[in-house]
Amino acid sequence: MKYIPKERSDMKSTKYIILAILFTIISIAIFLYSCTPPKTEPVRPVKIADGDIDPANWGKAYPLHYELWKKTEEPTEAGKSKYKRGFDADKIIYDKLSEYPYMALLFSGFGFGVEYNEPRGHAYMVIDQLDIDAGRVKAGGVCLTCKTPYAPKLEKEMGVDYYKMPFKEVHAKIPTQFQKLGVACVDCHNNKDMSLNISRGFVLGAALKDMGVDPEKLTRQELRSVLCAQCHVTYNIIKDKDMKSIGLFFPWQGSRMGGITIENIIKKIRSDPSYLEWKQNVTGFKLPFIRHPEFELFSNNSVHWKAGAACADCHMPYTKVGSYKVSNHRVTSPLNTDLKACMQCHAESAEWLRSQVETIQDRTISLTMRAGYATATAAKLFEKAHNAEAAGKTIDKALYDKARDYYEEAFYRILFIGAENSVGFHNPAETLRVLGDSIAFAGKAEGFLRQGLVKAGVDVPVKVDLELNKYIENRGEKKLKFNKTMEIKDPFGIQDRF
Amino acid sequence: MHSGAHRRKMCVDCHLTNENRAVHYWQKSLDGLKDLVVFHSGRIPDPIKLSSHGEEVLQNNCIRCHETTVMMMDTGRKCWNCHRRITHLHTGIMETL
Repeated sequence: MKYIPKERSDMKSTKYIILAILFTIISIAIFLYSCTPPKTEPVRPVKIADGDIDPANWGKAYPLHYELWKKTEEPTEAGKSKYKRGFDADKIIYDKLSEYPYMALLFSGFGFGVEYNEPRGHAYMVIDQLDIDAGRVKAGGVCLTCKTPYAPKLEKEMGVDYYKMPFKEVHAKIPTQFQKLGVACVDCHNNKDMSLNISRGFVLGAALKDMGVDPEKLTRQELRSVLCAQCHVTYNIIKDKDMKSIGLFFPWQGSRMGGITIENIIKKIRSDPSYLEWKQNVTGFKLPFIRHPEFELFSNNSVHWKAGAACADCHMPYTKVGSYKVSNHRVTSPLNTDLKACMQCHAESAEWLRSQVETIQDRTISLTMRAGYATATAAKLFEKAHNAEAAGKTIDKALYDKARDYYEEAFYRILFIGAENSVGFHNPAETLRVLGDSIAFAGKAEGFLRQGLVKAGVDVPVKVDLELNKYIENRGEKKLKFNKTMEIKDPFGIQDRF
Repeated sequence: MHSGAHRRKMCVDCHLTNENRAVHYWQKSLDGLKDLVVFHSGRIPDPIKLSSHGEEVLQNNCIRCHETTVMMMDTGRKCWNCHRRITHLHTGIMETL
């Protein structure tokens, strides 16, 4: 019998025990790992080729979203929104100049003063643009930037010609079957994995960088707002000395994310003569313009922005389709879908919520009237002052300059709120603040002008006749008329006293 | 259809990891020990708030049951920020055993 020392046999058995323990641990680990179910992912039967813009091809991979997107072609039920009567089943296209006659006076001299309609939404954006008075697309190819999904491609290929060349010529470069295509998948999504993607880097990307925001680092929730800001923002067209368009930018310099103020926008657009886009008939002033600043107004410390809500949470709310929840790509106002988007977070009834929205909008409309007509009155007094000067009278220069400065401040503010598409709801307190300031500036401008005119020996009547018919009737080649039935009246009846 | 299905769930269905039993019990003992110390030293916060770790566990449990529903959504946000009525404060007293 061979002698084995006791220690050695102990060592051997210890080794076996360690091995056995290791084996057990590893097998438990493998067992547990294999028991963890794999992450559920939607099946993707089709790959979307790079550069493919046709929504029908994207729809093969994402049928649920595609079907919802297709519905943007269909009108919504009429009468759901009190003030934004856009593309409803009544098929009436609402004329904003008939709704708000003061706009006809203020915008006379520009395409907006000829034909300015409530839009029919994403599916019709290019069609609406082709239908409207040619004066509205006089700026050139630049007007397509938000309208066609081909814009980024055209801008890249054509360079400055894209901005400069006539609208019709640039539009003709879009493949024929997509010449009427509005917002498409590629405007917001990456074809690889459908993640959110900024397509208008040449405008939005630059504007974000001006505010110190890195577009690459935005979270998905931030992108669900920022992507809307590719278009639902105010922009300015840069003109060369021949008044040809040579560029496009958002006037966000000096502002910060979550605080793009009207003060900063005005400061920027008044800072350089190359931003002056048109000449206002009634005053003869060359002015810049402000368009649909939905993102700016909403993101400026509004209560819903502060609560972390994104544009898509209300305008594309998560909707149950079969066993999935998808964001509703039939983009619309929550008013059109009976406030379902609101009720996700708010426990109140649809009627209660609607009355809250309408209360905010009634108040906004009332002050909008005050600001609009006060600004129009000041504009009309400038006309009077210019006529007096033409007749050989001298208007006090200090008073005139001060009046002009205050008038422009008032004008940009009423322009800002009048172009914003929520009638105050996106940010009620800020809306009323801006309108209040507009009224204050316009009132002062009127005061300075009255003083200047009286000093020059010109009598100014108590109520200045705005001669609205001159501006609102027979507009443009289509000879558009004032439609009195569309006019929106002050819900509180105060405007009649002014 | 019926509403309030969550009222029949147990605390641990939502507030402990349920992906596998080993981690579940490991977490349960850790949480229990922590609660023991916190309770007996009189340091219970008022109101009791979910820790960031607790939020992560809870969110994973929402997704665990509603996986198919939410697979095309942004799940980076906390479910209960919108579905506010799911929180204890708004559901009332419930049976927990």
